[in-house]
Amino acid sequence: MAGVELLSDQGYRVDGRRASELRRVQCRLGVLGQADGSALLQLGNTRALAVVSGPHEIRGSKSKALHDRAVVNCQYSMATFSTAERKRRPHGDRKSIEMSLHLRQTFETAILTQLFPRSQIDIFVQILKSDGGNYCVCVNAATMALVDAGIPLQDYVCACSVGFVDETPLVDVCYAEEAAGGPVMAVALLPRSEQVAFLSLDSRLHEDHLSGVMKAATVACRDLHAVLSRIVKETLQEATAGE
Amino acid sequence: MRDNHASSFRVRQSPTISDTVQRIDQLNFSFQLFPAIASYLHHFRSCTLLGKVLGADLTHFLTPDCSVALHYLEVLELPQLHGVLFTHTAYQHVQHKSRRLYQRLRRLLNSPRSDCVLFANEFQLGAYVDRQPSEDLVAWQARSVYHAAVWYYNHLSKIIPVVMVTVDSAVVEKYGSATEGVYVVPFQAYLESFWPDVPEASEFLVSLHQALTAKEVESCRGSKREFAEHLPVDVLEAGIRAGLYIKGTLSMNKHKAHVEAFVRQPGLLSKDTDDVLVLGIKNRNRAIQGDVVAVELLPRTEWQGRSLTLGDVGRDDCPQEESHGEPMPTGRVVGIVQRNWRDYVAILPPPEEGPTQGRQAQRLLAVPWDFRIPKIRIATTQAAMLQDVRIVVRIDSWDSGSQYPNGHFVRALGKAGEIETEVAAILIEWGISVLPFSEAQLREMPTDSPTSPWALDPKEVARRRDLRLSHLIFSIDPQGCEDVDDALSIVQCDGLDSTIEMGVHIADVTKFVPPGGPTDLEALPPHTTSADRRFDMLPPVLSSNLCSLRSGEDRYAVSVLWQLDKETYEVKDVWFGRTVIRSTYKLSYETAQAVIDGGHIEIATEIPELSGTEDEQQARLGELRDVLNILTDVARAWLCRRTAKGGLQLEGSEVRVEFDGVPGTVSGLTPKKALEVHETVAECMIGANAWVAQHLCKSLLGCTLLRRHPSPRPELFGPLCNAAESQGFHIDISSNKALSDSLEKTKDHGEPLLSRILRMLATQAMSNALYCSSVSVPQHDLKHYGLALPLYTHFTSPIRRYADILVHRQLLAVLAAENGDFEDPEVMLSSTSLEEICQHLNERTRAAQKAQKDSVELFQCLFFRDVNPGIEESSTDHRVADALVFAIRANGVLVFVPRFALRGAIFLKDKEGRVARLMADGRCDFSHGSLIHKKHEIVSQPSDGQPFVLHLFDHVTVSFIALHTTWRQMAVPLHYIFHAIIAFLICSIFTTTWADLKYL
Amino acid sequence: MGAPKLDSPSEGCVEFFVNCSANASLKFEGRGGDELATMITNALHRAFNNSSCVPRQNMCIVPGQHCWILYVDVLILEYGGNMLDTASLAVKAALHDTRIPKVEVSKNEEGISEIELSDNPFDCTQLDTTNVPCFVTLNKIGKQFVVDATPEEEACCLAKLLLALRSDGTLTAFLKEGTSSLDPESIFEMVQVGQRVGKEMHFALDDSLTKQENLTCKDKIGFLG
Repeated sequence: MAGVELLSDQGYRVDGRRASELRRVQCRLGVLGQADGSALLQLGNTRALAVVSGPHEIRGSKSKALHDRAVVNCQYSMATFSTAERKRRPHGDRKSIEMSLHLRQTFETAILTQLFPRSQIDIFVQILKSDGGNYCVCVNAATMALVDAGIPLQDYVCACSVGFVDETPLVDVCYAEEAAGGPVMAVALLPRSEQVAFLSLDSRLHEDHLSGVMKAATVACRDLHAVLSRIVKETLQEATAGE
Repeated sequence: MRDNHASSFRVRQSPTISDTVQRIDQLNFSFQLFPAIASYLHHFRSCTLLGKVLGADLTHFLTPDCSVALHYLEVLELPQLHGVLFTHTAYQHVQHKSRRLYQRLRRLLNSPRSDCVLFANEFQLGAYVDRQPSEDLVAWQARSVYHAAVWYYNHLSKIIPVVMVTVDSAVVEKYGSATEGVYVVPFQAYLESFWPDVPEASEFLVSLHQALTAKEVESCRGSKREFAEHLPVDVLEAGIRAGLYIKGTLSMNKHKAHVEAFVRQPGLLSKDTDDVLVLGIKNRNRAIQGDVVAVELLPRTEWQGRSLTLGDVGRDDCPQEESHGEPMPTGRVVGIVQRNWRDYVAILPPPEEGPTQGRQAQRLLAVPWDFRIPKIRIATTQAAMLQDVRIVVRIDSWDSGSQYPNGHFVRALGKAGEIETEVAAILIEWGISVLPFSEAQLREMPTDSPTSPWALDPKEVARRRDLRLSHLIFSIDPQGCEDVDDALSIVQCDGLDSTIEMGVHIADVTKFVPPGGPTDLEALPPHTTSADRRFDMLPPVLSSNLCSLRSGEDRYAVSVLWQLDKETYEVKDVWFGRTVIRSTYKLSYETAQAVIDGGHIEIATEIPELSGTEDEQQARLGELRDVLNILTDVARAWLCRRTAKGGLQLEGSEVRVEFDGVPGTVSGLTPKKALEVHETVAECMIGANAWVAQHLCKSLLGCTLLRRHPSPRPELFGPLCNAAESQGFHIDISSNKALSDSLEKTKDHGEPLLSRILRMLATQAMSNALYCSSVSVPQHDLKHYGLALPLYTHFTSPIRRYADILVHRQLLAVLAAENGDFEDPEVMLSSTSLEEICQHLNERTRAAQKAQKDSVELFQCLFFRDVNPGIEESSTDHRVADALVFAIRANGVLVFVPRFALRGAIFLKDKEGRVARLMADGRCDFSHGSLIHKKHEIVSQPSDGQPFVLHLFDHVTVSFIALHTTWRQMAVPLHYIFHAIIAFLICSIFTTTWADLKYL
Repeated sequence: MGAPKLDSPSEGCVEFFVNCSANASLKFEGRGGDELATMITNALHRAFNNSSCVPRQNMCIVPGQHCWILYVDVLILEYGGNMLDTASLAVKAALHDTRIPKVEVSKNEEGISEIELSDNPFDCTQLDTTNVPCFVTLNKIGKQFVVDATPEEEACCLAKLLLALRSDGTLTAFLKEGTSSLDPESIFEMVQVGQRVGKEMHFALDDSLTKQENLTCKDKIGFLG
């Protein structure tokens, strides 16, 4: 790409990070009073609000209900002002539908759905500001919202995207790096068991590099897990101290 | 992870500067600022290091501000300046302003030699400053750089002062003495006070400054447009994608540089088709040789053909009816995708008559050495001093309002015509930089001095096969060769299945050159031998000592050992591996040939290794002769087998340049004589290379560096077929075998030179051999056409070629892997990086070849200039020689002079349009008439004389003069000097006298 | 940046878009929020369809060719009743925060104007929000009416009057909604109450905005506190 140098010779990325460095994570649980669980999570400049409701009775047609486990319903939407170019529709476009589907798949693996037969769990995620890694921020935010809602999970679900530039995996890519068109892999990991809950790869990546990228993603997800669990602990401590 | 101790988080407006704003970035970039930073300073080795460490003898850091970094980068590039600390602010400024300078800056920062480092101040907590609401960009940049300098100074515990240089006096005033230890000084004053012993720096600064002011003056003047504006980059890119424009590299027609240029599309290997013709200066629109441009095709009705007239570099501006080929796509340049400007060697025209403008900088048009480059306008005050001096010039810009590009003077090379100057000019023109070995490289080297002699490491010896006692090893090289990288051995194994063991032993360079080390990095550009000097790739301690397989000394080697059938010389088995050897004889080609030819005891004096009594000498000589004879037989058998498969024996016209004691003069030019032993050694090396290539490809350890020679394009055989046809031969070009066979047949012709010339023409038709990665090219394209081998590589010259070092590493890794020892996977390069290296090697090899060719031409030219000072006629004159016509062109013929292995053009029509006339004494002159050009002959029909005919393969006598150093006369354009090195003057036909026809 | 509307070539445009996300309330899931969103969008349009509300003349760059278009996107994150009033307050605050970059217009030789953006990110103008209206919704519950209704109150309200008021109390638009009827008398009364409430509301908002502005970067409170 003309002009944009994703990884400088000195090893800095466009926003000044090193290749294996995550953006700053900030997160607050229970931001919305009405919902069963909510979380606002910010990774660098990407900010997502996740709201969880349920488990509750199936809404709409009862035929959707599953007799042995809960239905997970996800909706992903992006605020019209979240990107530099104004978006026309907040949700319902193909990308959002795909993203909703990905989120559902991710969380169906993580939530212990068999505990809530014939019920429904809703996860709504809203991107308020997008600067790359939307999927990953959504997953992390939704995890936190699920924790806030007290829904039993196998494990945290931590997601991180990894790009690949100049033979180097770039952890947690920002928008500029995403837009450059190189391969970007999004990994959602259950960190304790190191099981992969979700994996997607855009663009072409040579097989030889796959293990390196996966490794970088795994490390990043584990780091994220540490941050997220620390935040949960702190939130709980504050809550209990207040009582 | 930084999050745990994340320091601060700031949001900065993204620096969007665009001409027409489509949208406003709502998005802010976040910059993370780090509490810890790498220090480049020697004292702070404990800090995380980023590759480079600045020298310990540093007295201060030099921090250029944005405009210094942008406008005077070239001064900062001077190797004399140390400790240049670029701030990220300045770095980004350069990136925004000029892509070309940005690339330069990156190269500078990456180069392991330069003492320049980058401080990412905008990512550094404490070093970053926010832009204030009322602050303009320039003020903020100055503040940012200053702040970074102060921060850095404090970071280094105030040990080393930081000097910020600027050209803005306001900045000096504002910050000059704000902090102790951080000085802000004007650049000029800085250079004068800190580097008084580097006057070049100041001069360079002045030169750049003049160029800069001259440009400003010009832009104020607002002259009328000479050229159409270039389209902006985004329009070009869109147009190229949409297929409106064609992107390609512009190359000028060597013979018609002012009129004809072609745009070759990348990726297409074709030589002629698919090119787009660009006619005229206006259509070329300021593009220069080598630029990547976008062209728009003209309507089909305006398409024209390429010129077929014999190019005469001296008179391409003369009007004459030209013959053109078929109309081909013709276009005009609409924009430039990438400039490929480099340093140009040029010369200044003589001063114009008239009042000089005092001490004011003169605006002069420098005439480049390469005549494909337009004249460059430079401003200099040193014009008088630079008369007759070859100078290096860089182009800065070429505005649409200017007829010539603007540039600036960089440095002087020396008086034109002197051998040193001319060699330096050639090297610069081909982008070959010859730098002394760096300290880091030498530190990496083992020592071998009388006080601490180098010795084999017993542990290393134990890991290798020891051939020191078991094998008779010898090397055959040119006389006086210092860097012996190959040696040979023959051992006759007696036994039940009696075989011959033949060995090729190559110096184990990789033992001393670890991958990624300074020597390895510096070795990447290939190294050349010019006719009178050699540029070593490796430091002398390796190239002419520890890696040179000298006789009587223990050396590490990588060997290929074949078990050959005693009768057929078929290879029964092959062994590769690391060895320890001791060469017994270091022979020259001539001596070796003499031994084979049965010379007796007198040869013994030529071989210093033969000592002892006469009988002993005789016995050992006999032993050597036996071995050499077997070697010759084996090579003959192999060559025979390879030829049967289609291996070509081609003819290059090479000359040897002889120098006698007088420096700067050439005393003789002799065509290189080929002895059989040359072929023998070459065949052994080809064998070793081919077997190594095969072995590497058999193992599946990744991609391999190979050398491929693509099949030539059939249309390029035109001149060859035409020439052969005129003598009644048919050349079958369907395959290398067919070609080889049909060339073989021409040997029987009465004219002994015919076969040689045809082979020469065949060589011309060949494509270049290329380095490639085994996975990037389909299997059937990996073959070597000329050698008729399915796989080939370069293995046998690791001292001189970098490719061989890589192949050595690959071979050793493969061998290790075969023993189950995957010691160093780093050695196997990834396919992309290998491909990149191959590209680079190919490019550099080409440049080296061209430079070599140019230097030979230079020496030829010097020879003709110096050897015959002004004597007009004499039968022994070197300037007269027999020549053969080998091609017919529209306005002349091409001839080959076997005596000097020279090729050149003879014009039968001069620039007034007169044609050659044969006079009664056999000489020629020019008079009015016409020229008839046929396939195999050309007829000159003067209106007042007998017509005469030149056929292909006619003998003519030619005389040549060096186009003398005519830069004093404006009659001959300056830039043809040394290019039209030797003008062939005509010529008498079938006679021994020669004509003195000068139209030059 | 875009082309101005044909009927007002020398004015900029303001476009509204309201989205009730599923986050705000379960009933907004899918298309559930569209009705409310459309209602709010139309109400905002109505209130702002008046060139004096936002200085639209200042938003023109080249008459008939280029103007600034302000997209006002409202995203409802949590539903707590009285959406319209809240949304309009947020709109005013957002407009107050909006900076329009300064541009320079120059004509090139062909007469086509070229627009150049200043390279200084601080080189911009703030929008004048003194005339920006805010909504006050009066909900009629039985015989009484309440302002700033909770969802429960909204649930039992039969009719409501939407008033768009400037800070000086000028009415820019009003609209009656709901199933039950209102008698004209009560409407006047409601308008009076609305004007009083509206003034207070504007005052409180302006006060808060000024306070915000005086805070330095570091002390600004974001979502995450």
